Amino acid sequence: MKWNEDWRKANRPPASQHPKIYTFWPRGRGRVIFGYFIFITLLDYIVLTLFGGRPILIAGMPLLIWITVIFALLTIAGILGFDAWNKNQSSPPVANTPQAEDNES
Amino acid sequence: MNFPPEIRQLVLSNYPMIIATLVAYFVIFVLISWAAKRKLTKDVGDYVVASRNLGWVVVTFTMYASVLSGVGMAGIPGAIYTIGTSFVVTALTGIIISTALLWYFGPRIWVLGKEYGFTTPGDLLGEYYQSDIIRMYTVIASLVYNIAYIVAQLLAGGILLNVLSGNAISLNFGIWIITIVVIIHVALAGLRGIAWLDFFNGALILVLLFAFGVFIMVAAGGPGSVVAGLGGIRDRFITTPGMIGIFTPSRIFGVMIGLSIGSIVLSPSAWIRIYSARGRSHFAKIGVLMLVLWLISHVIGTYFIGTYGRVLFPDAANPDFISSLLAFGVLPVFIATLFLIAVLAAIISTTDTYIHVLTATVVRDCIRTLFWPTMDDAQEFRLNRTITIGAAGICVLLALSYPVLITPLAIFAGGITVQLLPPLVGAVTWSRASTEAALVAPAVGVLLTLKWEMGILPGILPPPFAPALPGLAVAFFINVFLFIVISYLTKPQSPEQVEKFHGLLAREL
Repeated sequence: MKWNEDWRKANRPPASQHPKIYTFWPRGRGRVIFGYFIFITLLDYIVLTLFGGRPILIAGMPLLIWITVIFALLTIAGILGFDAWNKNQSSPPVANTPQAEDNES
Repeated sequence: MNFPPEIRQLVLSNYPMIIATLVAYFVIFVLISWAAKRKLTKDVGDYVVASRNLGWVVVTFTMYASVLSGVGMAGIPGAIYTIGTSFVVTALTGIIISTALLWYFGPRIWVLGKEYGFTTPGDLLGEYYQSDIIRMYTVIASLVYNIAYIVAQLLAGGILLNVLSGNAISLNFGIWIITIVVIIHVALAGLRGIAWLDFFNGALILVLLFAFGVFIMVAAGGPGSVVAGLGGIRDRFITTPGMIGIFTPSRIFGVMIGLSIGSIVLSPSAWIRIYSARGRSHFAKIGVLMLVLWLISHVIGTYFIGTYGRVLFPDAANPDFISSLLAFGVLPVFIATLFLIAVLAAIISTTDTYIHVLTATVVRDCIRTLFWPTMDDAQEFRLNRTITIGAAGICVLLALSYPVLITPLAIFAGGITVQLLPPLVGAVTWSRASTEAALVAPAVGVLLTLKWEMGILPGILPPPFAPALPGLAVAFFINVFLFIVISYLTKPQSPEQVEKFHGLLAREL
């Protein structure tokens, strides 16, 4: 049986000696996108907490449903909007891409 | 688990039409299989990921139909019947967050898959962390997730065929029929055939769920009248924490971690569909269309089915049958028949998808990697077809032998696959992640999930310490915490490995 655990043999310098560190929390427009989705998720949670217990119907549908549909619409708007933004501001061809974008060194 | 006698009676009184509809469905099924078989090349890449050439509409529908399953058509209306509106909010909240995650992770997984020829989750994670143990984690997740769902679907399909045939087909024979049909379809047509069939099944399901909701509104006199019919339970039914008093916002967010994120983003079938898309720019459209499909299905379909079912049949013995019961009470007989066929279609879509994925992960990540590294693509292609038969046979035996043990596992299967999220983040986003963290944290998450949700492990662990959250959510957060802490205490991957993955993504995206 061929079992590989090559990571044990790999040369793994400490993080401080890495030439580049790619982070979970991006820079630039990536940070705006993350912030937006985290914000609307927290907003949904808060609105559900504050208003989810109220037996209100709007156009025959429970308020809970409306809260969730609005959360869905904000997500759709975010995906489409940020996708268009990313495409409009997309990087130049690979060979000319500045390495600093979305990286932390 | 037996169908209510009222439905059996209704089926018997419309027997010729039901058989004709069933035959028509299977004719379309065969035509789709045949068309896909003609396009299939004898190449494992074509068989497993459809040569990475599926259009975004087909990818969306195959994700939708395979996740929806019999659970979505019968189980979710039943849960809404029991819990109230909180449950549809739980399902939708999970789908909404999963859509955003799919948009984020989809292009990253796709780019790496395209560049390095990955076809399974184990390919990506095993290669990044340079560990076959981590690769095996993905195989275990695939086995648990796929077998649990396949067994549950086979059982549900067997029961449905038994009812649709007017008892002419026994439960066990029905399970065998569905299994054989699915094996032939998967082996002959590969992922392309599965995806095309899912497209047809998904469209059928969507139209019927929408029609069901509209007919309910017409029958009741509007959406407000549906709710008014709940009488004294109205207020509890349409608010948090729901009829059983536990679906607070915290629980809604906790349950959706496993039930939706684990299924829609992290399940092996979702991962393989991401690889199979034609381009990385398609994931915004895939996410948005999928969310629209789910909104229609749940807001107009399952919500009204569960709610009106509660109005018309307040004392149903088994809520899982409420959609079938209500179909013959509200819909014209032909459409009610089509609805039952759509449930069968959802069951078939899920079964074929998960048998295909189960086989692909076992062959690629276990057999080829560990035991037969010299296997070429043609041999892997043939082995996939062979193992499909064996995997399906094992699932049939489990369905016939241990239905009570296995079926509840399907509910928490997403709680197992979601434990792969931290290692995925490390491989595509956070280069500080270490192999040690990817080895320890998901294992702890899986063990805690099994302990707290299934009671499988002996009582060596305390109960979850956050009563507002379900056990699978607590297990997931412990996994995330451990992953971060262990990563900071150990060394990250080598600079070459980081550049191979993260560098490529930084340049391409």
